[in-house]
Amino acid sequence: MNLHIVGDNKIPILNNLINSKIDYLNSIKEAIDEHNYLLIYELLDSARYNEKIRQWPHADPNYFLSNMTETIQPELSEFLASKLLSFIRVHFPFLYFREIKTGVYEIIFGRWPSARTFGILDIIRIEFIFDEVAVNELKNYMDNPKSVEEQNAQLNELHRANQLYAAKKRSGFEADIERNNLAILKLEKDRAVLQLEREQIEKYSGSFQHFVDQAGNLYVDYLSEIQKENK
Amino acid sequence: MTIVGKQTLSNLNDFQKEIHHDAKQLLDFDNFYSIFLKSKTVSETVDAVGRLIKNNQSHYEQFNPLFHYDNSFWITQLFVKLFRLRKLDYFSNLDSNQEIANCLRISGFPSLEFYFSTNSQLTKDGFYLREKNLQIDLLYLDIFNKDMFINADGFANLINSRIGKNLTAVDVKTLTGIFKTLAKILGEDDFSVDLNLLQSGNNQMLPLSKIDLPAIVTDQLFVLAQSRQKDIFALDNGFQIDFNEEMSLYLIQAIDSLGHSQWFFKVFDTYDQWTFLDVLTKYNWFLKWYLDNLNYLKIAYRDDLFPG
Repeated sequence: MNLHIVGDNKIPILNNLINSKIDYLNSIKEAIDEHNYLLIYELLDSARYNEKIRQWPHADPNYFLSNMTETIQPELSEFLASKLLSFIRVHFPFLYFREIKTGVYEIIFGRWPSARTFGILDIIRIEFIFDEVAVNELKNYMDNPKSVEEQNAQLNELHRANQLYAAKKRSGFEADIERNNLAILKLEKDRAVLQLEREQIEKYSGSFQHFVDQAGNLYVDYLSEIQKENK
Repeated sequence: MTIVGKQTLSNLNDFQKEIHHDAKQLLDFDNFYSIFLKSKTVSETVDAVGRLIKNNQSHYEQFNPLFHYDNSFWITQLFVKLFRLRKLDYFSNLDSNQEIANCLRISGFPSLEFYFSTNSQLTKDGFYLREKNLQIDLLYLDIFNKDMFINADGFANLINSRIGKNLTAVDVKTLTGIFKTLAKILGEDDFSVDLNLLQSGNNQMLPLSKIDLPAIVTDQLFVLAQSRQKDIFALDNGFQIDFNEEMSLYLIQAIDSLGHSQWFFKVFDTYDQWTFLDVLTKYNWFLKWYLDNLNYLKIAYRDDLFPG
């Protein structure tokens, strides 16, 4: 077998493969130039776009092309961030974002002191990647009345212990009271943070579940909004 | 002439000089007192009282007058007169028998009584206006160096006192208004005036004397603000509390050119009229937090005059 001939036969295939990559890169470049956000997101993950936005089930993925954007994703995220963050500001006004490295945005719940970080915003996938511990703590606080009672009982217990220390005045009681006061302050601070988070969720989303659903629907809601804008 | 005779003549000469000295001193006193009573301007009045005090400090050699007034008496007279020049009768120096006394009362504030005191450890010649029952100094007045400084901690402690807690926000506004008026009056005579926490103005920054502000102090502020449903925000350089729709308080940190950090209180309001003392007066929880943490939150302010 003439290996040269076999090799040459691959040229059209290779040309096709390379051309498709060039076309892809040209398309994404053009979409960026024209601020065509819908097309950018479609090019980044066509299967997801077709399924969720066009409602075409079982669409083919384009990972072999979109993989090429991996090295430019931090800069691409920065480019896409401003519009997405504006959308989020309207629908989740209690969420704030801090760019912790190029194109990576940390989610901060609220602007109060000791505001908790709630995970990361994946700009490329238009997705909140929530910190499970933080979210579960809030869910528990909002949906489980017992957790609030437990917290109150803990605080009452610490206050009662302080009264006892002050009444008995055993040696070193001041240090005990001081230690309890620190524990009380920490509990009160945690409770204040959860209470503020709860107020924001109730004000803007109604319930914790609705907040979770809204957050889970970010991709569709955001791109649908852009579709409406484009019409 | 005998030696005894010479001595007698010398003694008589000295005696005459001393009588002359005493007569002149009394004549000066009469003159200054007369100027004080007839004075029509702030400058004349302050100057006359300054001379009366100086005269008061000189000794009579032979004839001590039957009268004697403390320096604080003259400062008290000055205080009353300065307001009268403006046809204001906020302060009265009459006691319950309607006789002139060495104390001051303010109409509408029967529980407060003031007198002037001095600090012997101070190298300056100023007087402190002290509330008699609470023993709290509210201001420092030095008519020789022309200084009038409000005592920041004094006012904070006053509104937190058993008497102060019975004062309404309007009362405190009236009271502080009187001292602001005094500042304006003395300003006419080029006094250096510092109203500190009585001063409104969105550019007014009150520096804290401590450089470090522990997290425990700001955590307490956060918990209290949240429990009072006041919006509190974390800023890049500190905190902002929205007390109401028109007024916010900032506790912010600024770095100077040498890299030293300094914390400040700053009151910002739509109409540029709230003072830090107004905030302390109106919001009792904030006053409590401030006084509980005074060790860290004390305003850096003329420690030489208001130590402790």
